[in-house]
Amino acid sequence: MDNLIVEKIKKELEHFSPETETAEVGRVIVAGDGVAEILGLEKAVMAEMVLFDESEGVALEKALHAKKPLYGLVLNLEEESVRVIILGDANRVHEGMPVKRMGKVLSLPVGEGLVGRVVNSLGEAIDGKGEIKSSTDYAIERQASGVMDRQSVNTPIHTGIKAIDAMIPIGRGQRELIIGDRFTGKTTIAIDTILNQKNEPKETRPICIYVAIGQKESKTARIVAELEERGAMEYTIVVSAPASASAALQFLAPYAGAAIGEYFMDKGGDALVVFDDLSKQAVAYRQLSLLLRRPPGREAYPGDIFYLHSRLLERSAKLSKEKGGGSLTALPIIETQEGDVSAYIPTNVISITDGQIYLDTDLFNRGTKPAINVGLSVSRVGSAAQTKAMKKVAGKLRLELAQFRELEAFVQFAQDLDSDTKARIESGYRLSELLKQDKSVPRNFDRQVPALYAGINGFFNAVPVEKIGEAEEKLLSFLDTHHPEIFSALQSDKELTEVTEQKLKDALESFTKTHNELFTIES
Amino acid sequence: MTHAAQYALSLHELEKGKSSREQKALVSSLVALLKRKGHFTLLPTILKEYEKYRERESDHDIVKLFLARESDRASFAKEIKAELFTRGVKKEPKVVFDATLVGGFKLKHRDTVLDASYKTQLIALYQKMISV
Repeated sequence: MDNLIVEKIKKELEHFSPETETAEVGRVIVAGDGVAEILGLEKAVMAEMVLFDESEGVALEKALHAKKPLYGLVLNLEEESVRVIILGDANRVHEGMPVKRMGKVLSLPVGEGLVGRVVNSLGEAIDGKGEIKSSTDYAIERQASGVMDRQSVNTPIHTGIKAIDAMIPIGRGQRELIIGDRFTGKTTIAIDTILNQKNEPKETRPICIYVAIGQKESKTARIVAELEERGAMEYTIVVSAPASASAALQFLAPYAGAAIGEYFMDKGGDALVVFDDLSKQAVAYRQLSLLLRRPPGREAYPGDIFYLHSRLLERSAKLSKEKGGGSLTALPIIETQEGDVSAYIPTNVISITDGQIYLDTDLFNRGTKPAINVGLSVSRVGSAAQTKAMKKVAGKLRLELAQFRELEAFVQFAQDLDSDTKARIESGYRLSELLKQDKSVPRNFDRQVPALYAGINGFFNAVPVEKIGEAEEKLLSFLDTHHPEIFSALQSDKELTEVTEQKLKDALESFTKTHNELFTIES
Repeated sequence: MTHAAQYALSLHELEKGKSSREQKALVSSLVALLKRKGHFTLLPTILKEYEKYRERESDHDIVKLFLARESDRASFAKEIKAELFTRGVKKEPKVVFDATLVGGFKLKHRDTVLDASYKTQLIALYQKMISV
């Protein structure tokens, strides 16, 4: 081992050619709160990286053992000076410190080496598993793909959540917002979506990127542990900018996640990126903007807060065949206050995205999980990408549930209702119950279709509402044991053909007969 | 820009091209103005900021040559001369000794720094080797 190192050093020394280096250097005149003002650097450009040179006046021995290099990002170009955000420990910066222009915009290493790793906003490993080897760098800020480089969304990304896949389908390349108050299950939906990708064949499985912005480190650690335990880390990358990280790193984290995703998209693959959450990123950006002395606007956010999110989410795309046909799907998360979707940041992001999944506190408290408010949730492009099988069962589901919600108000007058209305209400209760799903148990679409088919076609009408969940479980295990060909047919055809539908009907009939204990309500 | 820096910049810009008598009058006017506006306590900070502006301006056109030791001046005379010629600098550089450079030289002209010091190159070599 020692010989190997000595040989390597010898080689390095033999080939080492001392080079002079010319750089444009400025000096820190003011530093504090993660922001530094630098005099000089007249040719600096927006979003350029700068290096704080800590070696000046320091003895060689000490300089060799210095910490990692400290970088900054130019965000304000002023008449006399430039203002930069410090990407690291701001306490290391002091007045008079030399600052070098790097001549490149902020970029981070990307590639397959990142898969299964936890990194910070600069792409540095923070999971203690060693350095990440990567030969490609991608700019954190990049212009989104143009119109001619795109094609319309045509492939679904299955979340594994029945209510979403059936009624608010998401396509690869779409931007679907997950919005709701705190503790309504926003992160759960995102994580379940990541977990469900395990059901996808390896060739079409998207690389998932979970970007944690301003989260508690314990929460991120819990998520990573769950992903690891369920084997999902083998196709997932976690970008973490916790609450303890500087505002600069929290502001940059979503862009880093998008850049990592773009690498896989450019290679013709699919990527899914979850931004958890953009409200915290907006707060971090507001803090930076105020420290950079930019004029505050509504709720003290700077004037370009809309652009902050639009330029990020616009990077999601389904690329044209000529460009490789890759896709980058975005699931941004926004936390509302007291269910107010008309606040500044929520309305901004709602208008940027291609739909939203609205999570309701009342539904959550009533035990409806996932607490999706179907009335306020929408997917603007995803239905074009829905599989035919799901389309067939889901078309009726939305309508039935909408009618149920209208009629639900009359439940208190149950005695005066006609039998048809009563039947619709009863069916509505069952369908709502069927759409309930525990966390961390995403279902592949081939398992969702038979369950929803049974619900829509009244096979569960004789099952008491509280036993719907149990009936669904038993039905799926019954099909698994006696009719696995139904699942494989759905998997291969992605369609509920007449033959498969007939098989499913027959299977449901025999399930009804063999499970009398569930069907206790007489018609 | 802080309030004190704004006063300092104003003073610095107004005093340009003025005689020493006019400059003295300018300072008296500044003191009177500060008293009237209730900003007199800023005076020490204003003077500090003013010094910085003066220093920056006087530094602006000076070419600084950083060396680890006197003997290096002769050892690198050829390289230094070539660099000064490339940059079109005709003035004699101001020499500053910095023992931490280990060897080689550093040349600073306006915002540009040419670093040919041993220290930087040794650090680069070290970084390269530990990343192998």
